[in-house]
Amino acid sequence: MLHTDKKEQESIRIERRHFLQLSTAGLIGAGLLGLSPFTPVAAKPTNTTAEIVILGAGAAGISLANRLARKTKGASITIIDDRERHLYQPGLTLVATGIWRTSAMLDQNSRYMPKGVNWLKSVVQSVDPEQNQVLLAGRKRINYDYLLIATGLELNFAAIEGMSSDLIGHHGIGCVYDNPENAEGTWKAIDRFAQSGGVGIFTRPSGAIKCAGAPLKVAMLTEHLLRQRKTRESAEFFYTAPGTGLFSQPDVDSFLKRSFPERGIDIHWNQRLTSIEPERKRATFATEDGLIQKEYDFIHVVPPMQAVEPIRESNLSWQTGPFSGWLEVDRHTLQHQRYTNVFGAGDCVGTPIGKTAASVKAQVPVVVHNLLRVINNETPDAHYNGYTSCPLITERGQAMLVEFDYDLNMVPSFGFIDPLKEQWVPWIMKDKILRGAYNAMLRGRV
Amino acid sequence: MSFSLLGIIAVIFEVFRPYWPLFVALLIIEAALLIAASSRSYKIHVRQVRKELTLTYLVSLILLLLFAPLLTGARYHNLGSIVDYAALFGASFAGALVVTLLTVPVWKLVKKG
Repeated sequence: MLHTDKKEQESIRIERRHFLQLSTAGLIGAGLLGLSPFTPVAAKPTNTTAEIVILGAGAAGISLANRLARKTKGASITIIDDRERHLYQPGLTLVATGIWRTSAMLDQNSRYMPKGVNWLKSVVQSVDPEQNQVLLAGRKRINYDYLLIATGLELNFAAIEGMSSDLIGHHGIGCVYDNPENAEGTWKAIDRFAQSGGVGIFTRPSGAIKCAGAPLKVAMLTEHLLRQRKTRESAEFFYTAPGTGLFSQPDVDSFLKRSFPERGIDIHWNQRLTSIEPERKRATFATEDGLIQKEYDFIHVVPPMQAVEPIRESNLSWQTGPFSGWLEVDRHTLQHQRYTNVFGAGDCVGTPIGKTAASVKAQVPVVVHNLLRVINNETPDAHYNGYTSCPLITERGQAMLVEFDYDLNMVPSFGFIDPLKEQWVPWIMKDKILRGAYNAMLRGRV
Repeated sequence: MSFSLLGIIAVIFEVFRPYWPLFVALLIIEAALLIAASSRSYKIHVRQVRKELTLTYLVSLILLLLFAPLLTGARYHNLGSIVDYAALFGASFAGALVVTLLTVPVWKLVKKG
């Protein structure tokens, strides 16, 4: 009896061990196939012969192309952009403040363009949503069934009298936004300022801008650089804000309003840069009390920003209201409000917040999902909640991982990282990891 | 913002993509060292180089704890939370382990002399 019981027990142990081994192997295998509890089960591709045209091969455009290429079967997908070079735009701040080399933010669109997608290297001149047509340079017309607009935005240097992009890096003028070469020029200007000291002015325009944290980051990193070089005492720092806030998210705004004075960065409210005299190193600001002039040794110019002309001047843009000139989309579904076969993603959309790479990451899956719903004659049901993120670098070596939504509520991805605390880990994420996440986003993997 | 397992793997792959040539070179060197260490007529077991490996681990650990922030462009005063220190210790322990494992064939060769 005892012998039988022992054999039986041994048999049960073996079976249990075998079961656990099989289960573990199964879990690992399922995980590798993307079928773990952490991943949604991949849906079958949508069969369609739709002609889908994507305007723009930036972060949003390429991400859209990659996702659609995998999620459709039979669709004709065309992406239109004449740029071969792909810029990792979140790297501009790091180049402009001497943390990265320019090469670290350069890439090629061809590395991320999916197979089976027709890449038209051309420039969009106009869009006719009534005729479902896009007019390209050379008067070529492209017809579409569905149009995805990811044209980004453009910098309006002309809105500041006397300013042009050629001046960046000269006469003490910097601008983090323009392109990698001018970001490098900005670093040279900051470097000179850090050696010589003097008056440093950091500006921000009114209206929507991409990466609204960048003007603040440049100010804080420059201030930190002078402290590191022990030339801080020789410099005065001024930050000019067009209104009475530094950041849209209230908790971060409060933090910055405490931090800036502590760091000796004098905030001037309700001041907007209107003109610049590079030879004299003098800038003019519109204030509530009229125009005032300030002399500077370094000025960080942030120009007003707008949607590109084919969108801005078309019937696709908001015609009135606070988002006038930007693409008129429903802020949640990202579907155009009047042309239901048109969607938008990225910097071009007229929504309350969200001109960041993180916003693109959140928007693209929504657009793709809703587009496929429309193709299947269903109502869009995916919602974008306004998610945006800014790794707010406060000095070299530390940052705050700020993430919030349309309601300006903090929505941290990692619950163990306090978004209002300056920490090392968010710095590592910004410096070492987010570029990888961005590339994975381009490939439509996240 | 939530992440899937595949998404995390994709991000890790992209983060390390620029370093693949370095990893491949390291693997080749390591493989060559392992072959050299195993091909001797008198094989050295890992336990015979236990002291050397322990020393390697401790030295690596201390160096990483001291210099990991510097390697990331930061300073010690930038560590501002339990998360930061957990990351520092976690990365240092893991990094020291990797260094130690990589030196196993080296110590075996040295021991045999």
